[in-house]
Amino acid sequence: MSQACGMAYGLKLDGKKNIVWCLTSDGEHEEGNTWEAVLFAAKNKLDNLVCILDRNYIQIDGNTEDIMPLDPLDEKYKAFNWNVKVIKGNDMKEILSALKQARNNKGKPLMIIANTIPGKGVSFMENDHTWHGKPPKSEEAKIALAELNKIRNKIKRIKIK
Amino acid sequence: MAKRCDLERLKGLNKDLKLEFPEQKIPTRNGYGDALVELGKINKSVMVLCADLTESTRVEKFREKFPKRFVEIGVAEQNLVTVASGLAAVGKIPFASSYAMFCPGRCWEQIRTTICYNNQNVKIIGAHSGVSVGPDGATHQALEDIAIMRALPNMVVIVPADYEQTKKATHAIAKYKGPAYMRFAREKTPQFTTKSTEFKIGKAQVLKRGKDLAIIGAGPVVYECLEAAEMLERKGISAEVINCHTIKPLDKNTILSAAKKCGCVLTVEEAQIIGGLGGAISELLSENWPTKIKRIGVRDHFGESGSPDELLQKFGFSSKHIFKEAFKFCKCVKNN
Repeated sequence: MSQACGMAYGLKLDGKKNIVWCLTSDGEHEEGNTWEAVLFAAKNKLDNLVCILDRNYIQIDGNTEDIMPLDPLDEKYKAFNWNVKVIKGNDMKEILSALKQARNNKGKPLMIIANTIPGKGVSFMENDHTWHGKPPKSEEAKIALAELNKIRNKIKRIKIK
Repeated sequence: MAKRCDLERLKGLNKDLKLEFPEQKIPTRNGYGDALVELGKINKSVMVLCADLTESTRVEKFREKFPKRFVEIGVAEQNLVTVASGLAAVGKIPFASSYAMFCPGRCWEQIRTTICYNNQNVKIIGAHSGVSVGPDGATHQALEDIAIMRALPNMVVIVPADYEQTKKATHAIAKYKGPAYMRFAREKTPQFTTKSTEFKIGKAQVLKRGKDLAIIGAGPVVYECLEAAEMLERKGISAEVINCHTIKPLDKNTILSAAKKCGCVLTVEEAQIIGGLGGAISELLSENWPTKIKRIGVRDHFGESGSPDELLQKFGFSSKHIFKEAFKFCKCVKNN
């Protein structure tokens, strides 16, 4: 996030209209330097900075709220002087709508907290933290890909207005 | 104490470097601050970031003149270097300034990952290095910074010898495309190079030619090395004195030449003897021209609180101490 802040700061200084999109995770909010970036972005009113937080509630050792509780993240960000939006992170309509709206963000940096189900679409992976950093064996991969392909065949194209 | 005229008459003094020995003492950090203002005028991409240490890192003049290009980060050194990385990514030339103990001390991994691995054009400035930081004591006296920065791929490490050299080094690293680290001290130190003394990154300076012992130093202690060399001359020992301002990349040719000519090497730095200039030179010599070497520096313990002068004396950075060690070492090597 600090790198994104640096880029956003430099672009704003130069009067450029770019938006800096930064994908972040919940687990890394346990790191101090994440909050250094949060403070900095608010101080400098980096409204050209849009962060998307993959709020999946898992990290290597387990559920984030067991390892180092982070909730309520939305209130924390509001208290740190950011604009905040909470969406269903596996709902493409909500995602696209939020990203579109984000282009009009003004005055404060924007945090989009996307509540996600980790491993969504694969029955034996959903909400299981042990898959956070582990690749499937080839048999497991076969089953996983079959399930995902089934979903893919059901997806209809969404028109972006 | 060598007098100015003694140093000017020093046998083997390299006239090409146009050294001068005035009475002036100026802090090296002033060289950084003054150079930044010059840079700010000629290069619009130069930006300065500071972690709540504006005045003591001498960046207040830049802040006054170019307020839009000055970024106050507050007490957050990890953010300091990583925001700098982001700024470099959009074409800026950021100078991230703090005390060496805090940066690179606290944020070494961010420097490694976001600056070195990306080869971002960020200049990291470690002020207040060495024991001469004084009363603030061990927690503020960076002694390990050279070692940890030297180990990073893509990083250039510079330790200028005086105010004038620090100015030139600041300009040089601004021109250089890539990560660079420069460290300097807190106190006023002797000004002995001149505006005409050339400075090139990676090119060590043979200040005085000699044949019995090569004294290789970095930072303001180099002046003490010159004074020690003068005392050695009086005792019939001809020391070569090299200002090795760039520790990475090391000027291998100059150092190996000196080692081959003199047969023994003494390194001097206001830092731990482990991993800094002494370490770098030991590595080079062992692989290419094994030479008896003695390292002067802090011997693997922490600094302490005291007046800068007291501490420099206690930790062996005075010309008298360097002379004593050099004399003993040289005699010992020549006798074997």
